[in-house]
Amino acid sequence: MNDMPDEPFERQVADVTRRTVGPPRHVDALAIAHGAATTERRGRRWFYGAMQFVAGGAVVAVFAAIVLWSGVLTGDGDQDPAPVGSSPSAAPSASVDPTMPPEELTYASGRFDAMFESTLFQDTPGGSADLAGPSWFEVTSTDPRLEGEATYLEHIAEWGSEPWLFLAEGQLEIRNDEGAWTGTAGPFLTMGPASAWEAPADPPQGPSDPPQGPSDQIASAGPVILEGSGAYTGYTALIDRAPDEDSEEAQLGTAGFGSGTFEALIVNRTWPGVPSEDVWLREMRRTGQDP
Amino acid sequence: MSSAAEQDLAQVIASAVAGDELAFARIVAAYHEDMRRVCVFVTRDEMLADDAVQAAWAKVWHKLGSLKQPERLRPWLVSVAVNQAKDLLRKRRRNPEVELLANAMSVSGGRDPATGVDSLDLLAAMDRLDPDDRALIAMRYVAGFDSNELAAAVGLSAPGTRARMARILGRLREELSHE
Repeated sequence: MNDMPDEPFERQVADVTRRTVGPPRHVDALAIAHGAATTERRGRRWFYGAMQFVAGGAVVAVFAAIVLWSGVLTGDGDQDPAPVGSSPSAAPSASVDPTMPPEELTYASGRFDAMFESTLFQDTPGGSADLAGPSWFEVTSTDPRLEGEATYLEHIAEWGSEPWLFLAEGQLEIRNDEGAWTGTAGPFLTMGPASAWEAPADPPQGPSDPPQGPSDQIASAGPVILEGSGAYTGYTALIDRAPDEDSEEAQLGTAGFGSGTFEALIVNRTWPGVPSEDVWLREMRRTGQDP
Repeated sequence: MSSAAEQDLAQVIASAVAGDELAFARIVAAYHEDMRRVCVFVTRDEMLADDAVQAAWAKVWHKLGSLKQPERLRPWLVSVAVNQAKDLLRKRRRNPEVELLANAMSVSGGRDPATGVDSLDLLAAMDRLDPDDRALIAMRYVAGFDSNELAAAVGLSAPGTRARMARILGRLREELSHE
């Protein structure tokens, strides 16, 4: 292609295009550079990369876990051992409380759209940097319970250069007039590059063996578990997000939280979080498996 | 680009990645207007274009270290800005109440004697193109990208980019032949 098209129609297209945008303006490059370096930071629409399908599967797994734990913790497993003489059939290991309403599961989809995103920089000893930034999102969804405004407060650690590691985790809240959803998003992990990692101690044997060690860059994230409050008390929302495909971050293959689409499951059960050892021991004693 | 110029550019990029704002300002000075003018054509809105480029520079400041080939800096910068512009266009469509002022720029009408096409009709036809096609046109005729730069910016091969440009021009020509 030449600078000036030869063909008359193409020349007219070029001419109209240039006249439409006008001539170049004066640029205050120092001010722009300083602004970019020190003020707002546009969104971290980090990409899930090859791990996205894992996150999608994890939504299902987490949902199953919620249902299971709801049964365990609302059944006898969360109570004192059954009294002597009680009917054995009265204490199944994952019995469902008859007073609990039936499980109600709703699928929803929607979008997070960043309205304002920022990052605050805080240097730390040793050359690494911790960063945190409040971000505001508009949330639209097929389910009005998941619509509203969202805030996301993130903590980030970026360590190393070759290899490097990017780790982020944030507190997400979606709220509307009826209630709110809160939970932890992340951790989001991105690390690379492959060339900087040491070769595995046992290299692959034969050409059919899969490559070992991290690929050029690894990005991963799981679903976000949100606990309902207000009108949504007693409900849990599981959100699996994906960045917009045409974002340049998507092409960079990193993971994080930002604008993009999501799929969600809302269930009328609460997620109890990570169980304590006591819960397991009590359940094992109750079922006669006391170690 | 000569090897000396490439080396110089690589050094400027390396300095900017290391946090040198002056080096970053050199990059801004060299490419800001290419980014802004392409975004003006994509959004047809100067304010939106300014917002897009401002957001793009903030991204570039943090992502510059990921650029492996200095000679691809210009197409990369413009593609970052165009992505920002498309994001803003999407938001504006979803939030019509906050729609910004329409681009006040205009092109004077008049039939081109060589083509028989009125420039205002041509502008209207280009407005109906999707933002990706408008971006390609602007990168080609405003920023003056060659085939290789276009290919780097849109993720196609150089022949694929030429074919896409030819299809866009063909569509415009076809549409205007009916008016």
